[in-house]
Amino acid sequence: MTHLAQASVRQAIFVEEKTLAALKTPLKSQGVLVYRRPDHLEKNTTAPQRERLVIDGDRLVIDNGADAPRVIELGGQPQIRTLVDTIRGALSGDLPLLRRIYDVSGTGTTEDWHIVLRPRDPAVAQLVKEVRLAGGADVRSISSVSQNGDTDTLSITPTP
Amino acid sequence: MKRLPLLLALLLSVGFAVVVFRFVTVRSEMTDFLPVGRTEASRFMLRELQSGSAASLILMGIEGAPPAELARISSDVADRLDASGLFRLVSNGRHTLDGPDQRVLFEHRYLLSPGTTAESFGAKALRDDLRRLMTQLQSSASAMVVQFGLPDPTGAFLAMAPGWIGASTLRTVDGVWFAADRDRALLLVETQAAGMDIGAQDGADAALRAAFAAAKPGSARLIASGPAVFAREAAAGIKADVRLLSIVSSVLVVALLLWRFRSLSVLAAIAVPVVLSTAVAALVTSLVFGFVHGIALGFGMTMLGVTVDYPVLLIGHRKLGEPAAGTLQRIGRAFALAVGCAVLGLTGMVFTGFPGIAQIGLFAATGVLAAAAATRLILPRLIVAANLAPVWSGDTARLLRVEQLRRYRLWGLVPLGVAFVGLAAMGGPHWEGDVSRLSPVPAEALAQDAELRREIGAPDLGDLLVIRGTTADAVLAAQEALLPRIDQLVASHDITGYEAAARLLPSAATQKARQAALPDSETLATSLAAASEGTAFQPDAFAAFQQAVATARVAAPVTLAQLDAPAITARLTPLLFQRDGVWYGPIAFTGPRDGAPLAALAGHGALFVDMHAETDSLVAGGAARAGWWLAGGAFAAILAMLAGLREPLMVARIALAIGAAGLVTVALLTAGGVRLSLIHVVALQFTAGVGLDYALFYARRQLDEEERARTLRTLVTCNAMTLLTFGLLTVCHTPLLQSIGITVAIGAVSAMCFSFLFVGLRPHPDAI
Repeated sequence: MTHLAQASVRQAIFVEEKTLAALKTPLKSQGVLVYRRPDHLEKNTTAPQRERLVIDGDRLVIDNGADAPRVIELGGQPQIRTLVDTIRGALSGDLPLLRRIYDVSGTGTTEDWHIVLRPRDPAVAQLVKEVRLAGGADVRSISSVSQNGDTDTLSITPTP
Repeated sequence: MKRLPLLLALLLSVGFAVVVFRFVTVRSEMTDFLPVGRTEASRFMLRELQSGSAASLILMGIEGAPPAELARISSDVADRLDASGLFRLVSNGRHTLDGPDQRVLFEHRYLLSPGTTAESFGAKALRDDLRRLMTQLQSSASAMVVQFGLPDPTGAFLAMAPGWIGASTLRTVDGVWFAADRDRALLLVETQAAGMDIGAQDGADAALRAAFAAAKPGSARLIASGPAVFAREAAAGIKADVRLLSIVSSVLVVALLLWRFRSLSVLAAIAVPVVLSTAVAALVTSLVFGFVHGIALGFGMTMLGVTVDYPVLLIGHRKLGEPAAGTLQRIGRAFALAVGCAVLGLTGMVFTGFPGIAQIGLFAATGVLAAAAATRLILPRLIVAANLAPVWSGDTARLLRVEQLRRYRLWGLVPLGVAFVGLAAMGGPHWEGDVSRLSPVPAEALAQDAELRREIGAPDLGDLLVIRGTTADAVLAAQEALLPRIDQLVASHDITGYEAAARLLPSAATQKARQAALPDSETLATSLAAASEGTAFQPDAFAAFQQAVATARVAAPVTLAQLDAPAITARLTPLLFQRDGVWYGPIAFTGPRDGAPLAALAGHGALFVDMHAETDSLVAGGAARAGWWLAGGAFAAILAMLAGLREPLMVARIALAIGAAGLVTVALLTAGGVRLSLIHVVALQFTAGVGLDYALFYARRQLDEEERARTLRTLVTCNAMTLLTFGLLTVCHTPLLQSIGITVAIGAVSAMCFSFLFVGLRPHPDAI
């Protein structure tokens, strides 16, 4: 996945599916992902509820259009920072970054690979048990599994 | 070796002083200097404020850069301070309750939260809650919702947040606190160390500065304020003052004496009583108070300018070869009266009731007495043995021509009249009721503190409602009875807010009432089933919620001991604590509250302590007492002079000269925009004591021109030393020393001039 890191601006359509232990049916949403090197990431959810999530450097802003935007400084929230770095690392193909946080194991070929990330830090493990990445030339899906089995899968289709 | 006794005496004196200063503790903490409260309760609260955890709060502002940059610096600084381990609490708005604090509060949410009501557990309310949860699960924050929303659908935990996080009026930029009306990022930290632990606070301050510098502040500035900062700065200022005064006073006095007497031996002779008196004063002060305060020591060094007068008067009046008895016989009476008057002049300070000023007074009075005794008992033998006398007598005739000025002494009434009329035109002296002039903290620093406190919304500890009880729970229950009335004051905008333990930790009775509102397991299961009908929630989605409610229903009420987490402890400790078997729960208020009917809340175990009024009345009482001592001291001095001089007319002239000096001093201070305080009153009394010294020497029936010239020359020397040393006080950091310095410097010069004009004999026209 190393060549992923070369593109400077990338856009993708995503479909997110959350399978939660508390719910009988999965929750689905969709929208657009924008990644700009080195550390700008936007996740615009368009349906069923609008939400705009922007990560710029060390700052995370969540705006649902109704309430005042929530700003989270990642410097003071190491665990959220780790999750953000996971997505950024996965999208940008920054394997060294991911290796700092996780034990990385992978299978497959450059056209079809599967990687499993397991947190090194127990505090992070409280939030996420493991992250599964799959892809070929690009990342196809990012799937994080929490301790209680709740799964959040982001399926990504790049747009030109 | 006729100088041998002199050298020995000097060595002995210096040795004695070295020994004394080795054993005397010198302290620079301002708490040792400030007044204590009037009532037992206010004394207690004052102590608590000075040494309790409120004293270890530091308020910080970062300004002077674009807002985004300030927010970045604020976050960076907060991270570094957090990591330093020197701070119990670091908040800049970014951190809400997390970690152990969050766990503890979440665990006890149903007993602690005001959101626990019977209706909130009904099927109807729960249905709304579930709808809200579903929306939240769709969002990016779904992991948080799973963690905190599902176990707490009624939002009991969130309902506690306003109490803990504060319904703050702060603006936030990038999630960081900002002042409402300017670009200034705000931080609030609490040091691990006690606020008055100067050494540890120096470390904390260094950590603050280092964190700020490491955050690459660029053009931004850091301001820090709070009791601990004041204490540090005051202590540093006092230390610097003492150093300055010790060195520069000594150098100035030595230089002047060398110029005047041109003799190292004379200098050595003068040093004997001066060194002895300083050591004795430090020893006595230390024995009475247990320590010597830096301010008293600094003032004591300034007193060199006065104590040195005595040996100077003796040596300056000696004729070469004269036996000691001869000199003493000529000046003895004036000398004794002068010493007596100087001591009378210090009584005002000794008896003001302010520990710091009393120490200054005692230090100075002991110094004067010791210097006079040493001059009278030891010095005559030494100077006769070494045959010391002023060698430079100059041109007596030319010097005495100055006396011709006394022909026009009626003109001396003109400045007196101008001072009187001027003072009347200015509406009399302006009085300072503000206690801050007494505090070693500069007024600008206090103003900045008030500003930061207002911007951050930290309670001003100026007035408190103190609730006392035999148990913590009794205090909490008593507070709860009061809270509705305080909430009314918030609603009517009399105050903007308040801090009370009961808002964070309800009394056992309130917690029991909340328990009673919780449904039993079956009822809750039925309501939940009804509420989740037709939703996507699994039947067991709210198991954690049901378990928590069942546990809370039978739990013992939460006590202070159970809320053991850093931020919670930092918050609750100053609000609920036990001392000597009594529990105290002070309620502090925020925002402007001039005239807010807070005092009306007192009664039924609640005590209203208005620190400002408390200290103001202390100061007013002290000033009144100082006024009486001034009057009493003047009366005693007049009696002493009547008895000593037996010349009522001369005593009247002395009184006129000193009174005129006092009036001119007050007029000049007032014209200079100075507001007179207790300090000026005691300083005036002190000046009067020193001024009488001059007047008494002029008042002597002088024998011949030589003697008159000696007196004039010697008194001018004394006056110059007083002026130099007290003038030096005006450049001190400590406001109190500045006030004394300016008063004494002006007063001493006026007393010199008026004594010369009004007290000395008018020369005969044919005396030239």
